[in-house]
Amino acid sequence: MEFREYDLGPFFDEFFLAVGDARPGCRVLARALSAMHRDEVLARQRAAEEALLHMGITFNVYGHEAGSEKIFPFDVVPRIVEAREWSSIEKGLKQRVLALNAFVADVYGDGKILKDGVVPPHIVASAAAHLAPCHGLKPPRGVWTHIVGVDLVRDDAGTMFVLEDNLRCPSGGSYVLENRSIMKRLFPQAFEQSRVRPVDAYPSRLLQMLHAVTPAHSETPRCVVLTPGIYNSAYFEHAFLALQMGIELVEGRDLVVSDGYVQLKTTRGLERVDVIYRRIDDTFLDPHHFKADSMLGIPGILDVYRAGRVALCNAPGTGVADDKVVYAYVPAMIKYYLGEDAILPNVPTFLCEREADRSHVLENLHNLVVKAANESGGYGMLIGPQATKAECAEFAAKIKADPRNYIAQPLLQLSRVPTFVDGVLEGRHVDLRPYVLYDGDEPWVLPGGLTRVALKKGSYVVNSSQGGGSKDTWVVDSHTDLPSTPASIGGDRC
Amino acid sequence: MLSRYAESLYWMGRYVERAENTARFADVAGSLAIDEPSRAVERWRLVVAAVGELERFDAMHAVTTEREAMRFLCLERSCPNAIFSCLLSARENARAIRPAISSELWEQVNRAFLFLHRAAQDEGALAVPNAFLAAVKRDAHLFWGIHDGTMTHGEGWHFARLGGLMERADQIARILAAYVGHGELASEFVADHEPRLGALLKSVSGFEMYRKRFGHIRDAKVNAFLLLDPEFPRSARHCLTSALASLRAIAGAPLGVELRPSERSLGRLVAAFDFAEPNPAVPETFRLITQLQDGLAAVHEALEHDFFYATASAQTSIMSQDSQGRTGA
Repeated sequence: MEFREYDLGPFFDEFFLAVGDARPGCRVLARALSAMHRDEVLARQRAAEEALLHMGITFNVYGHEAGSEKIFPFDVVPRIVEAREWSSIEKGLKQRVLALNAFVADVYGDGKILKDGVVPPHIVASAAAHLAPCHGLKPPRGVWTHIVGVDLVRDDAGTMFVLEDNLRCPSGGSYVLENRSIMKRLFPQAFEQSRVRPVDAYPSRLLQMLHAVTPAHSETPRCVVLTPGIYNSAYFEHAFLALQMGIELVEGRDLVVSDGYVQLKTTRGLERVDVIYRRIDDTFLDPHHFKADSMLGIPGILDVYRAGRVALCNAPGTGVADDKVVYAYVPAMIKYYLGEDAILPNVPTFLCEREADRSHVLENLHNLVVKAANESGGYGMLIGPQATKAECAEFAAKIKADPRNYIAQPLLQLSRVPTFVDGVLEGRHVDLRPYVLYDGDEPWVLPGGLTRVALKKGSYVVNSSQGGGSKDTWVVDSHTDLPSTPASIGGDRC
Repeated sequence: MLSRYAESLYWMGRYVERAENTARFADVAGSLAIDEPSRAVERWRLVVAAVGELERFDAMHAVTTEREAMRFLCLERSCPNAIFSCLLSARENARAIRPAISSELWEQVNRAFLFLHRAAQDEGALAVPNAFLAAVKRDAHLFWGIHDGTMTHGEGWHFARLGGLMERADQIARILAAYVGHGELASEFVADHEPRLGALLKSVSGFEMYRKRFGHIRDAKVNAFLLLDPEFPRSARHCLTSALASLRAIAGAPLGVELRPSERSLGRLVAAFDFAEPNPAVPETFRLITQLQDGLAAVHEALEHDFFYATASAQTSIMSQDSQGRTGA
C-alpha cells in the first residue's frame, strides 16, 4: 500500500500530519501497511469479514427475515489515539460521569441544582426520559449511571468535543473487544511493535462493578444480563458480555417477582437474582409502573428495586440526563457538583426554547445541525448544509411547534481516518465512543473505545443503522524516535 | 440451570438431528431413484411423506419431480422440516442460549446454517445432491463431536443430548412407518424387497452394521434391527436407553426415590423395548412404532412440565406440527 495518493482534504486527519508524514503514534502501523501489497490488505479485510460472520458478530436489521443479520462493517485501519492525549480525555470523562451521576441522583432526590437555578426545573420536568416513579429511589451505593458511553468528535482544528452522553444502556462495548481480537489475528506484528493498551479487562471490570453494587443481603451475588431477546439489534452484544462475564443471559419471561425478590425460573425451581445488567429500556422494565403492555418486562420488579432487594444497572430514569437540552447544562453541572471546569468541552449548542436562540436557528437552518432532544441513532435530525429547502422548511415547522424538543449545533468538520474502501485508502469521518464504568468509587475508563466511521464518502453519519462501520481504537505510547517517512517504504510493491 | 436454557438446548439437539435425518432420507431416495428410474417419483414421495410434509409439498407442486422434491426437502423455507428450516431453528435456539454453549459449538451451528443460507441463494447448490447432503451430515457429526469435546458434560449437555436422541428415535419411527406402511412392501418375505430394505437400512446408516450382524436382508430382521438392537446407535431401543441415562443425570435423584413424570414416562418406554419379542412381524412392528411415537410425545410433554415451565409457546406449536406430521406419515 502506498499513501502518496492519499488526500488529507481540509480536515483534521487522525493518522497523518501531512501526506507521507504519519503522526508519531501511527508510524509503526504506517510502516507495516506500506510494506504490504494492496491484495494482502484486501485479503485481511475479507478474512475479517468472514470471521465476523462465522462468529456471529452481527446485528439485526429490523424488518429482515430471521437468520439474515448483518455484520457490522469493520475497517482494518485502526484509529490511533496517543497516550498523552488519552490521559486528558480520560480525566475529562471521569469528571463528566461523576457530575452526571450526581445530577441524576439530585433530580430524583432533593433537586438542589434545580432550586439553585443552575438547571431550569421545567427542562427536567419536560424531559421525555424523566420518570416520575423514580423519585425517592435510593440505588445501592448511590450509583445511577453504572455504564456510560460518551460520544466524542474532533473538529478541523483538532479539538475533541463531547457530542452527546449515553446513559441508557449504551451499546458497542462488545465490538471494541471483538475488533481488537480480529486485529490481533490480522496484524500481529504491528501489535508487537506498537505499545497498544489492552482492552480485555472490560468484562472483568464490568462484573466487578456489578458485584460492587449488590444489595446488602447477598454475599455471593447472582448477576444476570437482561436482554429483550434474539431479535434485538444488539443481541450479539448481550450474549457476548454474558458469556465473557460467565453469567446468565435472561429474558423477561425467565424472571418473576416472588416472595419479595426477583427470581429466576430454573430446572430446579425458583432462584434469587441480585443484580440485573438490563439491556431493555426503562419503560419496558415493569408493566405495573410503566408501559402496561410491555411483554419484555417483569411485573413488580420496580417494587423489589425500591425495597433495595435487587440492583438494576443502569438505574431507571437516567435518561433524564442525556436529553439533548439537558446536555447543554453539563458543563454547569460539573462546576456545580465538582467545583471544576469541564475538561472536555461541549459542542456550542442553541436551545430552541430560548427565543433568541430560536430565531438565530430559524434564520440559519442551512448552516446548522438540528436534533430532536430525545432521539438517538442518527434519527430525527437535520444536517442543514446537506438538506433540501423542503427538509429545512419541515424542521422549521417542527421547531416552531415544539421548541423545547429541538437543539441546534454548528456542523463540525469531523476528523478523518484513512479507511480501506474499494481497494484504496481514503479519508472517512469518524467519532469515538469511550465507555466508563462507575461503581461508586473511582470511575474506570476502557482505554480507547469504539471508533465509528461513516463509510459513505463525505458522510458525517456514523450510525450502524445508516451505513456506518467501526474500527479498532488504539491508545498507544508514541514512538518519537522513529523516522517519519514511512510512505515510500515498500511503495515499489504497489 | 435456567429453564429456557434447558429447553433451547433440547431443541437445538433435536433440530440438528432432524436436519441430518432429512439429509439421509433424501440421499437414499436419490440413489434408489438412479437404480430404478421408473419408480423415482414414488421414492421421493415416500421420503417427503416420512418427514410429514406431503400435504405441503402437494399444495406447492402440481407434479412431483425429483428436482422439486430434493429442493423442497433441502431448501424450502416454508417447510419447517426442510434442512434449511431445521438448521435455522437450531441456530435460533443456539443464539438464544449463546452463553450456555461453547463458542466452538456456536460457530459450528452458525457455519452449518450459513452453508444452507448460501445454498438457498445459489441455483447450482444441489447440482451434485450427494455432495451437498454429505456436507449436511458432516456438519451434524461435527456438531455432536464439538458438543462432546468442548462442553462440560453437565445438565445442559444432557439436555441437548436428550433432544438429539429423542429426535433420532422419532425419525426411525417415521422412516420405518413410511416403508412398512407403504403398500408395496408386503409382510411376508419377497426377494424383490431386498433393494428397498437395503435402502431403508442405508437411510439410517445401518446397512453395513446390519450385514455384519445378520447377513441376509429379511423384513422381520430389519424391523428388529432398527427397533430393538441394543448396540446399533440408530436403533430405537439404543436411543431410548441412552436418552434415559441423560434424563436420569438431569433429574439427579437416585433410583428408588420418587421419580418425575418424565422419568416414569421414558422408563416405561425403555422397558417396553427392552422386553419386546424379538423379530417382530408387520403387525407387531406397527404396534411398536405407534407405541414409540406416542411414548415420545408423552415424554416431551412431561419434560415441559418437569423442567421447561412451558416457556416458549412458539416451539410448542412446532411440536404440534410434528404430531400432525406423524398422522400424515
